[in-house]
Amino acid sequence: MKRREFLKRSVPLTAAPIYLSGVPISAMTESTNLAALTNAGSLSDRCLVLVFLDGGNDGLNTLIPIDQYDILMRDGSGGDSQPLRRPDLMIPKNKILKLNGLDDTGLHSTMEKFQTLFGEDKLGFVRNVGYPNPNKSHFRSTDIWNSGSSSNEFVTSGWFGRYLSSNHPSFPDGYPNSNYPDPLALSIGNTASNTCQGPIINMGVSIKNLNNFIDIKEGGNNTPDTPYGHELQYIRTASKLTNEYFDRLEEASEKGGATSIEYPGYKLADQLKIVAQLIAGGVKSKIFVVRIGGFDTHDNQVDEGNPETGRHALLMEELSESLFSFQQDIIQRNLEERVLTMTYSEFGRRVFQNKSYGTDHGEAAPMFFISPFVNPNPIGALPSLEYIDNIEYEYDFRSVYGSVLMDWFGVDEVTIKSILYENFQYIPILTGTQTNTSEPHAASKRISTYPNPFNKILNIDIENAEGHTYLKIVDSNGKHISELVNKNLKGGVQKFNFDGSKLSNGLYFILLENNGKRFGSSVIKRN
Amino acid sequence: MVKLSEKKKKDIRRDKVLKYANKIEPKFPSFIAGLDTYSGNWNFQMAAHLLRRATIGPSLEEINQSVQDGLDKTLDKLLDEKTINISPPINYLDEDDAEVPLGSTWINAEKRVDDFKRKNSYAAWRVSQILNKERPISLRENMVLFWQNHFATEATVINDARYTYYMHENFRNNFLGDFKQMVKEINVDAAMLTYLSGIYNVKDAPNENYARELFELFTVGKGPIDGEDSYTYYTESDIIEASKILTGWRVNRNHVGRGREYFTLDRHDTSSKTFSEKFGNKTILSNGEKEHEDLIDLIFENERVSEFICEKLYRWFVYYVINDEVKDKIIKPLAKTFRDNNYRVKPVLEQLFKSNHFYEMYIRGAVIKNPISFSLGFLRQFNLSGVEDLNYSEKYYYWKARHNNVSDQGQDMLDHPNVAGWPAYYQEPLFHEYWITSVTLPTRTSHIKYYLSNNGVRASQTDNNVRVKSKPLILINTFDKPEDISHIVNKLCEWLLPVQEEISEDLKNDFVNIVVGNNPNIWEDEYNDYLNEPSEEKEESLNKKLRSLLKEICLMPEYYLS
Repeated sequence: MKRREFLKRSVPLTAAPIYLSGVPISAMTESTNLAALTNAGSLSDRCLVLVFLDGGNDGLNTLIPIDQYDILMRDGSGGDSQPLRRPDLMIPKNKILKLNGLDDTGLHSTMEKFQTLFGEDKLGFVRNVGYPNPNKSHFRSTDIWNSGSSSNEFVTSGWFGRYLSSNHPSFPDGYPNSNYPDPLALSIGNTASNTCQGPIINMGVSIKNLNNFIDIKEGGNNTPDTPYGHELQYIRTASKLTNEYFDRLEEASEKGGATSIEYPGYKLADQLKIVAQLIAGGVKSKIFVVRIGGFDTHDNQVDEGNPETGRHALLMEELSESLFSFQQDIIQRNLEERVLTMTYSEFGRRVFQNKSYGTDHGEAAPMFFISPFVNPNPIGALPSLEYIDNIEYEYDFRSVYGSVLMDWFGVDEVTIKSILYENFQYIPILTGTQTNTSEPHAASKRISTYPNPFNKILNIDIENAEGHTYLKIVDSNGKHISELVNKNLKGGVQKFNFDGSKLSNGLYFILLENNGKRFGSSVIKRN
Repeated sequence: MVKLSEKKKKDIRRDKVLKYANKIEPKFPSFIAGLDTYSGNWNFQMAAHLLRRATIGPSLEEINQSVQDGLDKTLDKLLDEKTINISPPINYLDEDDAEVPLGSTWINAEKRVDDFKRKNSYAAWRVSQILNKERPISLRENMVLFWQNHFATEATVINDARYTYYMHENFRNNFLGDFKQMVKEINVDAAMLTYLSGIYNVKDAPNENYARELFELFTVGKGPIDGEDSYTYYTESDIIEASKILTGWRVNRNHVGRGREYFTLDRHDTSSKTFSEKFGNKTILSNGEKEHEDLIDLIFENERVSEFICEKLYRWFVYYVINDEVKDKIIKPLAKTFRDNNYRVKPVLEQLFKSNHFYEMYIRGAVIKNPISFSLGFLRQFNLSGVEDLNYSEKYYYWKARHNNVSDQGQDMLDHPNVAGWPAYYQEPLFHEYWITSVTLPTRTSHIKYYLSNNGVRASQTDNNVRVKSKPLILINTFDKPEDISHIVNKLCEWLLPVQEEISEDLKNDFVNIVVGNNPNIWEDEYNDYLNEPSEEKEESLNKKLRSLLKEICLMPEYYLS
């Protein structure tokens, strides 16, 4: 299929909302009081947990297109008109996990925990994320995803590193300091992620565990202007930063304390456990990077004769169980509203199977998002898989990154275009699909807000269970704007409207607490 | 902590941090020396520089010998290709290996389902090869690391230590030999066939896993995208054609010894394979089990292969910055030497190690040691006393623990992170700065402290009291003036820290003070007392002082450099 036809039948990309314009990020005050006032967490408290699925995840075996099941089962015996797809890889149709409200898509049978998160409106996804002229080399494509560059451009800094650097241009000179005592970025593992490579130096620190905080010798200051001096200075800088950040992390790790949640025994779970403990201990890094390897499933992606088991099934289980435990942990620690989790992989895999019960390198694939604020409506639609080998991209990954920067970190569009992607197009990953009509559009299945963006009157419909119901609006700094209801209500649909004509332009959150369960949605005010 | 003099403190400039951190690859002099034969003096510093780069942790004795030998003779030794007899790795802890009794080798045994104990044995054995100081100096072990990183695999994925052993053994036996031949062998090597799905590559559904890496990582290297599905030196369709050529190879896991790879015609795609204009639209005709060699001959028609490999050698031995100047003056002429010598590696390295460029100031001290050079290099320089008296099982235990030490720093000799090898040799713009992270810094620190601990290092799985210990005094006793602590510090700095001109007298005084504290004569007094009336107690007291001194010197950022 040609790209133009393909795009036509997909969810339209919308123009980016211009909000927070004129409000420099640095003017947003850091205040723990604000976070205490609201559970939404202020901008300065929010963080992104980035999960790298290393090796190229098979999106079609993760989010399984039930509506194209018969096509994917074709074994090639139908001749040229019905080419081989992936019969040996498909799990039985009745084992595909249903996603509440979706007929055409389900999850791999090992991903029950993702199914639960989706049912709670906490799991969102964007399909067909990729980039034009895709590169099928692991290393080059990983570089492209980490740097946020286009296929033919070689950029050595990481996309998040550039964002951090735009707010901290002199880093590491003068860091850590009293305003920023924490590492700006933290990778769990041996090395700092390239995603956090700034234009000057990696903005991040990496740690492997929470029990090796040891003093590093920093050495002298003679630095000749030679390669020797260059590398010497690098080691000294790294040593100094490490010492300073370790003091802080050690303190935070003690303060955060061990989790009370039982995590599964996976490497990914171990990494996420550290992330939760550190955030709980007060670490305000903007990004935490974790990694799960093994996705390069050229062979034995499934066990011969049993597509429900095999390498990919184990990975799906590790991913879904680990992220679920993490989510339970941060709920327990009262941090859920501050954390957005996002997965990515350097590419998807081919539509057809190879002869080794595996798949070869492909192109676009889905990305997952976990947060109470995600848009639970699927974004993106699969093309017909009948004849194509590769799934072409529908959404550019840089637009995904940019939309997260915009909605989660309040970065303005001009900055996004300058540090990330000139052709940035907003994708409603967190804000719910926008609609200019007055028809309600379910951003969360419990909360509908319309129109979005709104100018004066914002309509808010909620669906609550009988019991205590608390509905409020906060701004993107977490500041309380208005309380709409705070009492016991009978179950059912409740309609509210709110006059926001005096509000300044920007992003606002609607928070619903119903019998102790929390739901969220966000809307944009635009004059 | 070493205190710096006030004078030095004034020199700290706040912008140094920014100035020296990698924004892009650093730019250095626009004029560098070329490959013409080194014409300067041959002295301790030059010999030390050569051996630090060419070998792993050169001992003081080896450097002194090389000063005496001169450059040519030193190179003859380093580049001596004679095969050496090495006793193979043995079973040291697997009591359930029915076929291989403890103390015997498993390399010619049947397969073993629980393979990890053999893998542990192999890892330990590799460490022992690197630590060995009985053989003449050689580039061998360093080159095995180079080749295993070039053709990177993961032993855990291969899941048969015998395959990994034989693959690396071929690198060891051919460490300076014919690269083209090496690629042909790798095409059908059991470890590689298993690792990159070659055994699943059959005519009805070619598996492109290996073919892609053959172009991208092993021969021509990746180039920028220059069209749809086209990567300058090859295209996606070339990958598919190449994978067809490579169909039909299998591995017999029940085979014992070398030669477990075999070709099956019925699984081989016998059609003609036509390549893109990158390869002159040439066609390779069906040629059975020799066909994969025809593919290599075709790929090697592109001179880019020789440049790609010379760039990798340069990054391994010299520095990671390859600017236009380096490309023109060093890489291109080396590549020509490579081609003129039918892709034999020895003449290339001989030319490089003999060149003015290799010895110019600009190159010295610029390499961040990889974990093996750092940790195992340290243990080669300061071998722990008592290792030679251990029984085989204790030795293997001790070596395996050292393998864990380097693998904790990101350089596992069995499992590379992926098929691209260690990122320090390809990841721009960091390159070897990749080795230094907030994870590896504390690891490096704690390892050196452990190796130099007064309690020694554990050397037995079962008995915590079996320990080996550093005894630096043995080495210091060979110095000209062992009673003179300034002389000792000078000698150690000259040997251990790469750029002498930059090691200030202040710093050396600080080192001396670590040992003598407030009593300037304490070393001389204690040493003379020990000479007059030796006792174990006095010896240990001197060793303790030396260990403190070495902890200072070897944890300086300068010691991280080579």
